[in-house]
Amino acid sequence: MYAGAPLSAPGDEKVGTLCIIDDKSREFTRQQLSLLRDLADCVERELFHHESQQTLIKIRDNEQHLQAVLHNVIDGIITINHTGIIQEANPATETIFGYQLEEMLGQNIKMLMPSDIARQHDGYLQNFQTGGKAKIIGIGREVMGKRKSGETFPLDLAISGIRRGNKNFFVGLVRDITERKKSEKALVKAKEEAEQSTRMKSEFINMMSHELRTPLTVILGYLPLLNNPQKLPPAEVICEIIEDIKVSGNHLLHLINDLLDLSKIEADKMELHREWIDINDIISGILANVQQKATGKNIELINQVTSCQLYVDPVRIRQIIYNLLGNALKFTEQGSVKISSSLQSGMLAISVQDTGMGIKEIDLPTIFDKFHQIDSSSKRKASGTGLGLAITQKLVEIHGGTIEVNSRFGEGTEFIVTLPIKEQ
Amino acid sequence: MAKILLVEDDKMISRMLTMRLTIEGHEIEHAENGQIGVEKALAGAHDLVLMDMHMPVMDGHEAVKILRDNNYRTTIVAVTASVMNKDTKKAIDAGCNYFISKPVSESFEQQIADILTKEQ
Repeated sequence: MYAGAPLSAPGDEKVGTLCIIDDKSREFTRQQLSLLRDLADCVERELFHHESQQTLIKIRDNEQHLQAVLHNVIDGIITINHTGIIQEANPATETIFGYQLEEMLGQNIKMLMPSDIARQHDGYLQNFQTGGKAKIIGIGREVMGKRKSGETFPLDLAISGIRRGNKNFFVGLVRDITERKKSEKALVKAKEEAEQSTRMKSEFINMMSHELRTPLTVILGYLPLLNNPQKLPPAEVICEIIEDIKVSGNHLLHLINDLLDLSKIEADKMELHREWIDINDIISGILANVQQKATGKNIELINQVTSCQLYVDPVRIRQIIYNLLGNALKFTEQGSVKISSSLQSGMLAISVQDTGMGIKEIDLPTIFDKFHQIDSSSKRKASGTGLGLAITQKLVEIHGGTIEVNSRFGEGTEFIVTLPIKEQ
Repeated sequence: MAKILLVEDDKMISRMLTMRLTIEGHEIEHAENGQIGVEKALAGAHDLVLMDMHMPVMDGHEAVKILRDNNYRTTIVAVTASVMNKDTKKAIDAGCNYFISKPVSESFEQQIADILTKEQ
């Protein structure tokens, strides 16, 4: 015997059959058949009551999951209606824009935009309503936002359109990219600086090649006049040649020493050999050496340095004074170069003051930069590598001192080196 | 032998070049920067101009350009310590016919003689 009643899900979808089976054959009364149907109805009810319970639990779990995401995500998530009124916003929205949730709900989303964008926003919504045209739906883009404080900031914005019932809503995902923009800017700046430094280095090498070739031209250029014993120039001409070769050779040595000093400074390997010296002895010696050059240019050399004991590296102090006096004489065409000293609370200030061409105000901040020459054009009058002042400043600094410059363009320049009397 | 205008601001280099070229029998006139070089070039008839490129007041590029703009036809040789490709190109673009780099070689006199022969 076999009897069955179909089981249907709500909406009349057939999902199975309730069956009664026996090994004997028997007839069913109408009442018994009705009972079977009732029994099937009971099974249907139990079955689908349980399933809708399961569905509800699933929906609740999903909802909790969604809430957890909404609450913990660092991006702002804002839902607006078709006219731009804020319906929902997650806590990150509050953090990003600085408003409390209550301040935003029911307000137009335009409150979170700078005015120039806000003005166009109604138009964007209108376009979407009428023609379905959306500039921004589905694709992320970078726009500006406005915080409660009025501060504007860059943000990444992605928008999706959703329908609830028969109404259009928009869900916007907002990411504050202020920090990212800052680091992007810092990277670009670092890259530009690196490029600038490479450019300056290559210009420097170019200039160095030119500077080294000039004295070599003199030295090598004279040699063909001196290598044939039968055709030697008169003795006095040979003496002149030797003098030129000597000056050029010394100049070459000076350039190479500057290069070595620079490389020591770059590698932080510059070492001092300090001893007690009298600054007056050092400066008098140097002045005696440069006197001829000053007289040749008709420049008065004035010495107002007084005796003072210093615990310094005499080689490096000589180099500092030579560089400053050399520059003063190089850039002065008439008048005087004066060197003086004064003692103040354990520090000795040495001033080198000239009545030369002076330095333009715009050039003063970079005057101590290495590789820097104010005029590096092919027209510049003074030769040199641009290393002198960079090296001088470094030498002063490793002595624990400072160097400063005062200048008026066209009137003259004063360099003041301040050194501690002994090592600190 | 040739009449040569030497435009060179470095006193020692111009003394050395003058000595070497005078021994060869050339007559050397000296100008200590581009501006004086232009004046002397336009005033006198030279067979050749040797032009330094780095000089105060007026550099070689400017001087050569002015000379060429004034229809100056004499051969000009750049003699310069700026020896990168772009420097060579710049000198030729300005209107120099030849380029000799510093330090000049032992065969400098021969180079000058060859140029004079070619340009005759």
